[in-house]
Amino acid sequence: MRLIQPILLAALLCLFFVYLRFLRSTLRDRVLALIFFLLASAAVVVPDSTQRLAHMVGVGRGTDLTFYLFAVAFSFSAVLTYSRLSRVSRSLTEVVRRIAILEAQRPNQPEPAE
Amino acid sequence: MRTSENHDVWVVIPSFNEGESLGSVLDQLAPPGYSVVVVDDGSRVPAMIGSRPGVHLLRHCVNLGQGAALQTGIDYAVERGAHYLVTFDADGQHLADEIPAMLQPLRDDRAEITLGTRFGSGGKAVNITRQRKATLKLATLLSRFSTGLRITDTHNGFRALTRHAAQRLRITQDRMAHASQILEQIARLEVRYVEVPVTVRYTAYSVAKGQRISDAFNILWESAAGRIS
Repeated sequence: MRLIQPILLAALLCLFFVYLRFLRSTLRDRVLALIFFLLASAAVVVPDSTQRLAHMVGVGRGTDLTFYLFAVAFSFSAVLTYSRLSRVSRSLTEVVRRIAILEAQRPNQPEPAE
Repeated sequence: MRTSENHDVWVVIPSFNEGESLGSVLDQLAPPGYSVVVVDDGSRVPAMIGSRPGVHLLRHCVNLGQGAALQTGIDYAVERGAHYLVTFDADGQHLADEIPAMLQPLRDDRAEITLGTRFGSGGKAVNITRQRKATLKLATLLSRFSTGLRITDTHNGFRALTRHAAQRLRITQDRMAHASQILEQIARLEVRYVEVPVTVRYTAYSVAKGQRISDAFNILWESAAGRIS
């Protein structure tokens, strides 16, 4: 057992619990998180599993395969984050707009005293 | 002396950090008797326009962008029964006495939206810098390519719409991309439009306000990405 393995396992466990506690969790998200956690743990615990997987798909090193998968997962997550941000931004606009219309200053009204 | 027949024409003016130019724009709009809604988009110094007949003032408590300010003003005007809406700049670049010409095609039912153009025949761009002109012409080409509309001035804030068109369009791009989005929606919803030549006056004030290279870059980017909303 190499030192990196318990370290990574501990990190994965922490991430998993942080995710459960603080982030949105629909059923789908939970299932995805669980699958990710199990796969990642397997990759950490089973010796050279990434290496064997890499050879199966024609990649030279396990590390390289991990990197490729990580790059894909990251890009996907970036897109998700961007779309979430857009949604929040749209909600903000609606709220600010609603306030603006509610507090409209009609003509022939004195300015509110500052 | 205000003409009563223009109460149902609503001039929507998005405003951000405008100084005295807003006051003189409102002075120009007063005699014909238009209803006016100024949308102050979270200016650092809140717009103070005093108490003017026919002028409504809305404030975004947070700066959202010109597109958002326009949509807020449009929503307000439609809610208050506007028959025609005119979008108009706060910095004095547009001329109030060109509004009737912008409304005429709508009144004649030749179109549901009129788009002001400073580059089409009859249009004028007074004191425009070469950089600005080049940027806008390039933006026009890109926009034509991505929306398919043969428009000669894609970033002109002077527009007029019927109530019906105002209800069909919905600006969701809060910032500068709203100009491209409006065109994209006109194309997609097949709204009848007509271009009307207008004058755009570049003064030292308005030039100082918006001449950064980043503006040019963003305008071109958004024109090319027209269909992506």
